[in-house]
Amino acid sequence: MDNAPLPEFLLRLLKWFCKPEYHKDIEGDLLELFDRRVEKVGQKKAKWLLFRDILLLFRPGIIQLSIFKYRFMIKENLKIASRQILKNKVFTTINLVGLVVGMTTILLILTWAQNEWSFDTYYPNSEKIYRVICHWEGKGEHLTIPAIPIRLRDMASEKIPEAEEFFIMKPETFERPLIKTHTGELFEEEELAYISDNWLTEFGYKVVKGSVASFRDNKFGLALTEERARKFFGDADPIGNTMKIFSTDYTVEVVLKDPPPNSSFQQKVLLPLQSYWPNRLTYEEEVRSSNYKFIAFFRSPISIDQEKVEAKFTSLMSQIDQNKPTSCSVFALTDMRFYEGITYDVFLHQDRAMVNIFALIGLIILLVAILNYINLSTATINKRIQEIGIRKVVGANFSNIFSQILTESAIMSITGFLLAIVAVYFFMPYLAQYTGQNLQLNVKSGYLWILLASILGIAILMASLYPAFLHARLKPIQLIHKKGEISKGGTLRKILVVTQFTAAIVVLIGAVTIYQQLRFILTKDVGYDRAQVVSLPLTFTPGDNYGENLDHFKLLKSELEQIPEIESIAITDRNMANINNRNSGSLDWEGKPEDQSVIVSQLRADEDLITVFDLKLKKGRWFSLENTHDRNNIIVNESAVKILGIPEPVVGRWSSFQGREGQIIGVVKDFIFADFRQSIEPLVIWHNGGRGPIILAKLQPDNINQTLAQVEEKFKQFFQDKPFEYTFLDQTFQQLHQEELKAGVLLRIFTGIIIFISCLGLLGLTLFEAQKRRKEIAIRKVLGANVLNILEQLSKHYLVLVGMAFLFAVPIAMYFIQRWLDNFAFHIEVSIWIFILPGVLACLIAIATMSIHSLKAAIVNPIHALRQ
Amino acid sequence: MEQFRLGEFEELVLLTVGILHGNAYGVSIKDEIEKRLGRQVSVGALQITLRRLEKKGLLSSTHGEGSPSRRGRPKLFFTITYTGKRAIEYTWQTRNALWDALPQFVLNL
Repeated sequence: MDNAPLPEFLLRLLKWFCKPEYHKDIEGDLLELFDRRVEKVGQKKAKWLLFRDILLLFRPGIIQLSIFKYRFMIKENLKIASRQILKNKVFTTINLVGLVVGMTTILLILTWAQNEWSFDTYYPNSEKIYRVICHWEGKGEHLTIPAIPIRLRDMASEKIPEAEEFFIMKPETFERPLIKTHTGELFEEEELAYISDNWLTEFGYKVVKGSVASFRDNKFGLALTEERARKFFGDADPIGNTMKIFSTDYTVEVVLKDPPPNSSFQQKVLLPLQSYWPNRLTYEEEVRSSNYKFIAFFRSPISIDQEKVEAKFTSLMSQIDQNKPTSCSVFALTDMRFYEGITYDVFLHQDRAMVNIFALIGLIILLVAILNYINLSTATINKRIQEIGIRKVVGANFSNIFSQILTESAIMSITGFLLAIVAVYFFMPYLAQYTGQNLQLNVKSGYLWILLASILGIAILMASLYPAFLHARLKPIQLIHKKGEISKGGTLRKILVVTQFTAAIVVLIGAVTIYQQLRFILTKDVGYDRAQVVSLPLTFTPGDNYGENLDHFKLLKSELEQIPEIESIAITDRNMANINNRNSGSLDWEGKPEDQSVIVSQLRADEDLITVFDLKLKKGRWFSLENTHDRNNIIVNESAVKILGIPEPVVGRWSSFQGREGQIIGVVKDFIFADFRQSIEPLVIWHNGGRGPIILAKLQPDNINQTLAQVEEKFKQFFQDKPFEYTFLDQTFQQLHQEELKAGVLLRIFTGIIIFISCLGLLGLTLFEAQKRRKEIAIRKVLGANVLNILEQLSKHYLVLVGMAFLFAVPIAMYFIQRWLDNFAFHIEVSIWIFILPGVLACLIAIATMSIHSLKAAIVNPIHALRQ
Repeated sequence: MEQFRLGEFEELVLLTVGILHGNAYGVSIKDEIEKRLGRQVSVGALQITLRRLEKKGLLSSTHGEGSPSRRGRPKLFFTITYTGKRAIEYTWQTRNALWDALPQFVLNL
C-alpha cells in the first residue's frame, strides 16, 4: 500500500500543544484514521478531517500547560512591556489618546446604531406582525396615508385569513389635549393615543402596578407609563385615581414600564379604543364615514406573500371608499423604523442610509486610530533594534519576540479599552439627550459583550500583528552590526498616512457640504417673508366652546392691531412654514376632466395674510373684505395651475372647493410651505371669514420681547386659563430640518475626531523623525540652513502624502455628497470649493501639527545634538 | 459512591471498552460506538473521556506494539479495572431501581 504523504504541519501542531505522555498514541489513532480516510474520501478531505480532529483535541486535559508558561513568558513580557510603555511617555500618550478616542467614538456610535437596527424586534411576535397603510393616487400626485378606515379592519378580519388579529392605535394628534388630574392640575399631553384592548399584551409592555386585565375590562380605564405616572401623581399611588381628558373621566388601571428606546411605540398615555366612541351611534357613524384615522397592525399566522395580501386589502378598500382610488400596502413591523414611504407618521422613522453611514464613520475612526498605533510602533522599531538584537543573541527565538511585542500591544489596547468604557459611561447621557432616546449600555445584552469583545479583539490583533511580526523577523546580526537605520515599514507607513488622511478629507468634505446645504436651506428665499413673524396658536381645553373661543380670538386680533409695534396680523388655520394638510377637498373647476382626481394642500386664511408675508400675486387679486363672494372664492398657487392642468384663463374660472361654489380669483407665486426635501405642491388658499385657531403676527424688529409681553397681556385678558405659547416661524422652519441640523453637528464632531487622531499620528511620526535626524539637522544648521529649510526638510514628504490623500478623497466624497444632495428638491450645486477648501484645510492642519516638533528640532542649539 | 457516578458518554465508553475486551484502543472504541449507536464520536471527546476514566481509576492502559497501519505509532489498549466494573454495576443497579419504581401506566400514557 502506498502511503499518502503526511501532513507534517498538523502533526507538529499536535505535538506542540499535546501533553507528551498522551502524544504518541493519540497521533497513532489519528494517523490510522487518516490513512483509512484517504482511501475512502480522498487525501484532501482526509486532511481537513484531521485538522478538525486536532482542533477538537485542543482542550484542557490534553493541552500541556507549559506552552503558556515557557513559550510566552507572560511575567517577563509584562515587566518588559510596562517598562517600555513608561519609558516612551510621549509615544505612549499619543497612542493611548488615539486609541481611547477611537474606541469611545465607535462604542457610542454602535450603541446608537444597534438601537436603530433593533427597532421593534423584541416583541414576542415581532416577526409575524405587519402594518397596513393606504395610498391615494391623484393626477401627478401620490399621497400616502399612514392609516386606515376602521371598516377595513372589520372587513379584513372576516375576509383575509392572513390577518389573524388586528392591533389598532388612534393617536390624538389634531390638538394638544389637556389632562386634568384628580387634584385639578392641568397638563398638556402630546403623547396620547387610543389603543385596541389587545395592544398591551401583543407589544410586550411590562406592568409596574395594576393589571392589564383590569385596563381591558374598564371601558374608561387608563394606562400610564412610569415616567408620566410620576409626573402626574408624584410618589402617590396612581391606581384608581381619575383623570379628565376631553370631558371624560378615566380611571388609572395600570402603570407600565417606560418603553425601551428601540420601541416605536413611545405614546405615554393610553386610552381604550372603545372610549373613543362613547356609544353605538358614534361607532356606526365612524364606520359609515370611513375616515382614514386608524393605525393598523395585524398578526399573521403564516409568513405572507406581501403582494397577494396587498391586493386583498386593496380590493376591500375599493368597496369601502368609492370616491377615491385607494390602494393598500403592507410591510413588516420590523421594517417600520426604516420604512421610507411615509412622510407624516405618529411613529418616528429613521433614514437607514444615515445610520449605516454613521456606523461606517465610526469604523473609519477606529481604523484610523489603529492605523496610528501601527504607524507609530513600526516607526519606533529602530529605537529598539539593539534591545531586540541582544535578546536574540542570548537565545530568544521568533515566538519570544513576537509574544513580547504582542503583550505590549495588548496592554496598550486593554488600557485604552478600559479608559474608553469609562468615557462611554461619561458621554452616554449626552448622547441620550442629543438623540432624545433613552440610550444606555445594556450590561445584560449579549450583543454588547460580543461588540466589546470584537472591538478589543480587532484592536489588539490589528495593532500587534504587523509590528510584532516586523520586530520578530529582524536578523540579530543585522541588528547589532548596523546599529539601527533599518527602513522596514517605510512604505507601509506612507500607505497608512495616506489612508488616514483620505478618510479625514472625505469626512471633512462631507461636513462642509452639509454645512453649506443647511445654510442654503435656512437662508434661501422661500417665497414669502417670514422674518419676525410669530405664530400664536389657540389651545383647547375640555369643555371649551369651540365657536365662542374662536370669536374671542378674532376680537383679540383686532385688539392686537392697536399695538404699534405689530406691523400686520392675520388669522389662519395652519402654520405657514409647515402647512401639512393635504386631501382632495372635493376641488373642482370648470373644465376638469371627469376621471381626474386631485390632492391639494390647503390653507384657510383671512384677507391680511398677504400683507403679513408679503406674498406676491402672479395674476388676479387677493381676498378683500368688501367682496362678500370671497367667502366662496379660492386662490391657487402656480404649481396648482401647472400640475393640475387648470386651463387658461385661470382667473375668473368657476370653481368648487370644500362644498363652496365660487371662482378662482387669483394665482399666487409659488412659495415653500414644507421642508426642502419636497418640491412645491399644488396649494389652495380659501377664506376663513377671519376665524381660525392661529394668529400670525409680524413684529417690528426692535424690542421684540417688550412687544411679546404686550401681546401676552392682551391674550390673558381674553383667555385667562390658557397657556400663552408662541413660536417664531424661523424656529418652526429650523425644526423641519432638525435631522439635517443634527447630522451636520455630528458630522462636524466626527470630522474633528478623525482629523485629531490623524494629526496625533503625524505628530508622532514627525517627532520620531526629528529625534532620529537630530545630528543631521544640527549639521545642516552648522552649515547654514535656516529654520524654514529644516522645517521643509522634515515635513516635505509627509505633505506629499497628504496631497495624495486629497486626490484619493475627491472622487469618493463626490459620490457620497451627490447622493445625499439628491434627497433635496432644492439643493446647492457641487462646486469646486467644496473640495478645495477641505483640501487646503487638511494641508494647513497637517503643516501646523508637523511644525510643533520640527520647529523644536530646528531651533534647538546644534551643539547639544552634536555633542552626544 | 462518588467515583462510581458516570456521565452518559463515560458510561458508553466504559461499556464499549468492556465489549471490545482486549482490543480496546482509540480507533476501535470510536468505531464500535459509531457502529452500535450510529452517532459520530470525535477523537477529542473520546480521548479526554478515556483519560478521565483512567485518572478516576475505572480504566487502566498498556502500550501495545507499533504497527504498520499506524505508521509505527504504538496503540494504547484500555481495560476495565475492578473499580470500573463496580461502577458499571452501580450504574446498572441504580437505573434498574428507578425503572422498577416507575409505574407502568406512566409509560402507556
